[in-house]
Order: sequence, then C-alpha cells, then structure tokens
Amino acid sequence: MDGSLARILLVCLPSLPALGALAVGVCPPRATRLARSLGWAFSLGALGAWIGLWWLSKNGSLPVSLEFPWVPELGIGFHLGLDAVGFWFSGLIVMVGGAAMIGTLPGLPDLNRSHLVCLLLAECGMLGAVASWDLILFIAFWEVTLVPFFLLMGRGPELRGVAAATRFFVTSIASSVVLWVGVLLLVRAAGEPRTFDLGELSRRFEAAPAGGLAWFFVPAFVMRLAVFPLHTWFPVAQSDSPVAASVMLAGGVLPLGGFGVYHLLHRIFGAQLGGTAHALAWLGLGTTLLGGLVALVQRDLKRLLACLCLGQTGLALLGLSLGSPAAVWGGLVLLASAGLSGAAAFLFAGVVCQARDSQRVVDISGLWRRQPLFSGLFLPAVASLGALPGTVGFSGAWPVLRELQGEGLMLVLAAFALLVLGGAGLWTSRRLSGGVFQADLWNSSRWPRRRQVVVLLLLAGVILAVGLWTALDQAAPDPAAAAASMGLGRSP
Amino acid sequence: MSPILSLPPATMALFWLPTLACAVVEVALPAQRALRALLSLAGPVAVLGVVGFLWPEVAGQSPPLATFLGDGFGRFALGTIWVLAFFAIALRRGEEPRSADGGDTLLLLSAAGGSLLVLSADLFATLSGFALTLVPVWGLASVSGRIEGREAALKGLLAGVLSLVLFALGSALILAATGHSTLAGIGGFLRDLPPGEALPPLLAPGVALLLGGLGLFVAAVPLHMWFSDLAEGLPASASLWLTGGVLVAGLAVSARILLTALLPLAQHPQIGWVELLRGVGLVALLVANAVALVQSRLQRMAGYLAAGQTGFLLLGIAAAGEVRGEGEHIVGGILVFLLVHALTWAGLYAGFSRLTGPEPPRVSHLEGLARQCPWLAAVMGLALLCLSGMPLTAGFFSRLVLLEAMVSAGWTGTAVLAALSLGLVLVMSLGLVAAMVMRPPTSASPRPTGVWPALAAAVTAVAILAIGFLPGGVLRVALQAARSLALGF
Repeated sequence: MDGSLARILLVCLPSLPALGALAVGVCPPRATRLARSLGWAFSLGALGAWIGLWWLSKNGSLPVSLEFPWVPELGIGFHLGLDAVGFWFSGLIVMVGGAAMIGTLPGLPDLNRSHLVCLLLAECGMLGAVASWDLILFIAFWEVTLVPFFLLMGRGPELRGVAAATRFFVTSIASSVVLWVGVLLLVRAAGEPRTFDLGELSRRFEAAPAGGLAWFFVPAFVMRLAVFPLHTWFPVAQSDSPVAASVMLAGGVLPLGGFGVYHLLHRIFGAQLGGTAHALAWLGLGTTLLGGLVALVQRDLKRLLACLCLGQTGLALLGLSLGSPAAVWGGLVLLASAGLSGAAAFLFAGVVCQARDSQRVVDISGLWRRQPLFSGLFLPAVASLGALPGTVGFSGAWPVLRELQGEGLMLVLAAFALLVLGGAGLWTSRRLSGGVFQADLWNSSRWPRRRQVVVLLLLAGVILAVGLWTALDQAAPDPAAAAASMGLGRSP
Repeated sequence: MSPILSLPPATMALFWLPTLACAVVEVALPAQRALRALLSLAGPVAVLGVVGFLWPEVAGQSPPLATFLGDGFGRFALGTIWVLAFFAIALRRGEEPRSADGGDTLLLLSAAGGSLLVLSADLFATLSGFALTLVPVWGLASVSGRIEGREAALKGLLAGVLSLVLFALGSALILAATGHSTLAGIGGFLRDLPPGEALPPLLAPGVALLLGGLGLFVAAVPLHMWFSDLAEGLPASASLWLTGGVLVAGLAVSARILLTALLPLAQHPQIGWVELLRGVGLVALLVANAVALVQSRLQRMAGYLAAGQTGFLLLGIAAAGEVRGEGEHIVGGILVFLLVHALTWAGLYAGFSRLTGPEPPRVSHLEGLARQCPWLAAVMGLALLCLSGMPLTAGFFSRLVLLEAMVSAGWTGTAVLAALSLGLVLVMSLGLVAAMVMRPPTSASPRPTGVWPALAAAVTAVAILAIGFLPGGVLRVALQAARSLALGF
C-alpha cells in the first residue's frame, strides 16, 4: 500500500505543476486572482506530495520507482525514481518553486497568467529532471525547462532581460546538444539490448567504464552550474531578470547542474567521473576563487550575490569531483545551500532593488533601521553563501575541506576562497543594513509584502535549522556516515 | 499485370479525380465557394482514406522492375504529402480573393504529380513526376497577383527547368550505361558488376547530373536560392505546399533513388555519394539555418529553414548509405522526419496565412500576437519548438533517430554540428516566440479566417504533441513502411 501511494506521490511531483500550468493557462484572461490562487494551490500541492513522500520514507518507502516502456522501438522507457539524494533535491525544488510562486510578483499586472504558467512549467521541468532515471526522459525535462525560463527572464526591466535570456539560452543549448550526442554514443557503447535506463547503464559500465565519453556530458552540467568558463551568463541573468526568474535560477537551475554531475556522471562513470574529476575539481576551485574575488569589487547588488553563488557552486563541484563519499556528501549539501541561500538572497535583493529603483550597493543603506526583520533575514542567507559556521553552507564546506587534507595547494586555495566569500558576504550585509535610511529615495508603496517576509522567514529558518542540525547531530562529525545514511549510490 | 503499371489503374486514377472534379466546379460553378471548398478538401481526405485503409498491400505483389511501386515507403510518403495538401487547401479557404482563380485545382494537380513522384520506381517516371509537381506551382505563383509572385515564378521556372534538364540528361546517360531506367534494374546492374571492374564511362557523368537535378529540386545548398524566393512570392497556402509538400516528395524520391538504384555506389572511391551528401547536408544545415536567423520576412525565412531541413535529411540518407546494417531503422527515421516536417510547416503557415495582407508577412507582424490571438500564437510557438527538435514535441524523436544514425556511422563531429544547428534554429524560434509574447502589438489584429484554417491549426498542434508524447505508433508504422526500401541493404 505504502509502495503504491509512494508511486502515486512520485508521479504527482512533476505532474501537479504541469497540471497547474494547464489550469492557469485556460483561466479567463481577467480572472487574475483565480489564476494566482490556482498557481499557488498546485505549487503547494507539489510541496504536499513531497511531504507525503517524506512521511512514507520513514516506513522505508524510499527508494521509490515507477517504470514502463515509453518508446520500446528505440529502447526508451518512462522511468521515474527517487533515491535519498533525488528526494532531498526534489524537496529543494518544490520549496524554491513555492517561494518563487508566492514571494514574487510580476512587474506587469496584465502578465500574471503567463508568468504563473512559466513558473509552474519551470518547476515541473526541474522536478522531472531530478526524478528521471531514463536518459531521454532526463534530456526531455532538462531541455523543456529552458523555454519557461527564457520567457520568465525575458520580462526584465525595459526588456533588458531578453538579452540575458538569449545569452542563457544560447549557452545552454550549445552545451546541451553535446549532451545529446554523448548520450547516443554512450548507449551505443553499452551494447545490446539497447537501453537508455540510467540504472542499467551504470551496471553495464561498472566493470568497464566508457573512457572519454564523460567529456560529452561535462559542458551541459558545467554550464548550468555556472562554473568557469561557462559562468558568464549567470551574473548577467541575475542582474537583468525579474525577481521570479532570479529566484528560480539561483534556487533551481544552479543546484540542478550539480545534481546532473552526481546523477549522471557519478552514477554512470563512477567516482572518477569518467576521467574528468581532476579537471572538474580545478575548475570548481577556480570558480570559487573567481566568485569570491569578483564579489569583493562588485558594485551591483545582484551581480555581487551572483558571484557569491558562483563561489559556492564551484566549491560544490570541487566536492563532487573529489570522489570520496564524504566529499560528495559535502558537495551535495553545498548545492542545497546554494539553492536555498541563493533563492532567499535574490528574493530579498529583488524586493529591495525594486523599492529603491536601483541595484547599486552604494544606493542601498540603513535597512536595519527601516526593516529590521526583513534585513535580519538576509543575514542567514548571505552567511550561508559565505559558508559561515551555523549555516547549511558551512555544513557542506567543512567535509570538502577535510577531504582536501592531502592536497596542500588545493586546501590552501579553497580555505582562502572561503575566507574571501565569507568576508564579502558579511561586508554586503553590513553595508546594506548599516548607515542612514533616506526615505525620500525609496518607493513610497508598501514593501516588503507580508507574504514575502513569511517566505524569507521560512527559507532563513531552513538554512539555519539544517546548519544547526548538522552541527549538533551525532552523524555530522562523520560525513562518511552521513553519506551512507543518505543512501549515496543506492538506486531505486 | 504489366510492369509499366504495377499498381491497379483505379488506384492511379484516384490521384487525378479530385483535380478533375475541382477543375469542373471551378469552371462551371465559379461562385459556389462552399461546394468548391468541400470538394477540394474531400479530395485529400479520400486519398488518405484509401492509402491508409483500403489500398491493398501491393508491396509484395509488385513486379521487381515496376515503374510505379505502391510499397510501404511510397504509401507513407504519399500519405504525408496528401496531409499537406489538405492543410494547404484548408489554409486557402482563409485567403483572398475568394473567387475561383484555379488555385485549388493547381494545388491538387501538384499533389497528384507529387503522388506519382513518391511512387515512381523508374527514372523517367520520376522525371514526369517532377514536371507535374512543379508546373502547377509556377502557375500558383503567377496567379497570385503579387509582383513578387511573378518574379518568383520566373526564377522558379528557370531553376525548375534546369533541374528537369539535368535530371533528364543524367537519366539518359545512366540508361545508356546500364541498359536500365528502373531503379531495381540499375541497382541490380551495379551490384552484379564484378569487383575491380571499371564502371561504364557514361555512368559517372550520369550520376553527377542526376544528383545535380535532384539537389536543385530539393533546394540543397548551394542550389537553394530559387526556393526561398519562390516561397516568399507565393500566397501562404501555396508557399506551404512548396516548402512542405513539394520538398517532401522530392526528398522521398531522392531517398528512394539513392538507397535503391545507387546504393552500390554509396562508397565508391570515384563516384561515392555518401561523402558528397554528408558535406552538402552539413553545409546546408549550418548555412541555411544561419541565413534564416537574419531574415525579416517570414515566408522567406521558412524557405531557408526548409533548405536547412533538407540538409538534415540528406545527412540521414548519407548515414543510411554508410551504415547498411541499420538501414530499416534509419529509413524509418527518414519517413518520420518527413511527416514531422509536414506537420511543423502546417503549424507555421497556419499563423503566416492569418498575417498575410497586401504584402508577405514579416517578423514585425508577429509582435504582440500572443495578446491579440493567443491560440494562434500557441500553435505557431509549438511548431517553432517542434522545428528545433524540442523534447515532448514531434520534432525531438525525428531528429534523435537521424542523429543516432550519424553516431552509428561514426560521424560524431557531424552529429555534434547537426545538433548545434538545431540550437541555431531554437535561437531563431525563441526570437519569434519572444516577439509574439514579450512585445506589445504594433500592427492591427490578424484578420479573422474561417473554420477550416482554425481546424487545420488545431489538428496540427494536437498531432505535434501527440507524436511528441507518444511517438511509438508512428515509429512502428514508419519502421514497417521502411522495410520495403531497406530490403536491398
């Protein structure tokens, strides 16, 4: 019974947002309130399905899997599944999706409906990608996500977002098509009977890894993870996109790129990621350093936060590339941190920049005097991006640093990068909160909205709760045990 | 049964009956618009019904040296072009002028010519099919009333005549060299040549001229210039027929000729066509799609995009010539690609036909379309995503199979470039979607059309999604259809 219920909830995870998009899409154009209520209901419905799965997981219902033939002529199956890692990532996506849905408002009131449809479709695509255990299904969700993001991002102020969306799109497509060819080569190398099933492919390549093919997978994931040298789209996108797109990009797209590294590269090619691990580790470290150093000199608030996110995702890639269970666990936690903290930080930045009508850091000050709770909630987000102790960012960064003990230069550079990131984060928070609040320069309408404060409160609560839980929990000092408890390597 | 007419004469006559009936009504009852519409639309439906359900399976009964073959491959391609004929005639219902101008008859005549083309298994029958398909299209351009249409008709006429001449010369030289004009006869002659023996001297120039004629007909880059001019000059419905139906017929017959008659020469050191097609296909994909990206006139853009599609399909045919062990799979993919091309173009032109005014539709006419006419914008957006191979649309699987064929042939670099060209199309597509969704309307609302164009648009959208989500049925049919052509592999 529990198994059947778990499968139903598994299907509900990506389906509910898709159904929500359909429902919102057929709403009458003037029924804005109805459309918004439907959007919220379906998004929260997905969150409810995830909570249901979490409840069932206590009875051992995870991993959960649902599989049937989709295009048997081509060996393609419809295989959805969630192991522990997929489960927690899907939780991250539904949480961020709900936050974006409820915490953001479209700048143009007449675009409410399509705005909601795009948000719901983006959520559906990301959840589908996390739950896909067939490579074609994965590609389908992975690519389909691009379209709603393009439309969401393109609605930036004065259509500046179109250029950012185009850059994101071109980079993404250019890297994704290489992934398509890589998947076809991989399936060919796997031999007969032909299959695109991830579990089956990883079993076939367990004994004899397919050398060289992993490089075809790397660009797509590195791009979505915004790792050097494919990182340039991210700061531009964050600077020029509307708030909803900003929150979803930081909270969903970046972690999804890292999840792809784990889900495909790690599962199919093993801990050495098919011979790409060394290069990816250095790329990750380089991105962390780059993010931290550029953040120090950034004058645009959104770009500054984007640089902090880059620093964290770079460190996450470093952890995933090190290969040991503890480092991989750290990398995954860092991805979750980047998602949660990024979403919270960009929600905050979006509201504040809109109210001040400026994104320059020098224009924003004195928030502590005017909005103590709201600016106080920004601190955990930015502290987690800087991997400061007590936050989820630190819980991920610490195991990665521990696993670098034998790597002298890498350890020094990573520690230095973390110091820079932490410093930049704290300085930003101090700069925004302190100083004088010049009320005449700010928007006179009410900001932030109550629901935005609630959403930020929840996100900050999760960031701190996870950080404190891992610090206090008995399993946390031993990341390898934590990794084992998460079921790393077990497939549904 | 005579080898000249291996198909039942009643079946062959079926293609001409709609044309004849429509011509009679257009001449005798020019004011009866409803009757004309009903009759014109009933023709393709009747042909599709016969092809799908009533036509006996004649593949096994056809004599080996037949002139026309009603095999699975031919039937599938035939069905595809009559689907397009239906859409083109449906779109004509929304076009001005409404008086009888002979357009329906010309369209049906061209569709009948296309039918002969896809069923022909003889070089000279193919030649007559070419002529019968093209001549009515020139007529459509001439009667369009636009100055661009007349100019385009002239260009099309010159290119078409050149194509026919090249093909005729090539066929004659091949006949002289091999003693056969049927595809099976030529293929048999070439297969039976002892290894190491020199080819007949007239064969190489014959094959070169034949390929030149085919390349011109299917608008293979660099022989594509006339195609986009003609696509722009025609009314939207006729432009759909040119860039969809005529192209599908040409590509289907090209696949048949190359993969049956000329298959033994595929990798010949002197006149092997695999490498030639691979090069032409790749250049066509990249050049035509890149040029399409900067076009401001929609029908011209569609012409370039169609030339890009030709490139993709030529790569598939080349891969089938390279990897013979998987011929059935690849030929099945080619057939699905043709069907999806037809559906995609029908979706695109459903929008173009509503934007057409005194001048051809431009990109700027799309601005704000999502607010003025959301369902039309949705259909066009879907067709654009399908064109760029976006997953969960019909375009994804059709391109996936051909990409896999390239990978099977060991052409990894070619596959990557082909996939990148899809990215190019996607960028262009999203540019158009952005214009529809993100820009405010700058022109008057699209003019309303009747029920038939709307129905055609709805059917197209449903078909694109249905094949995208559940491609198994179409793939199965295509693989069965491909079996007849792949027998010689």
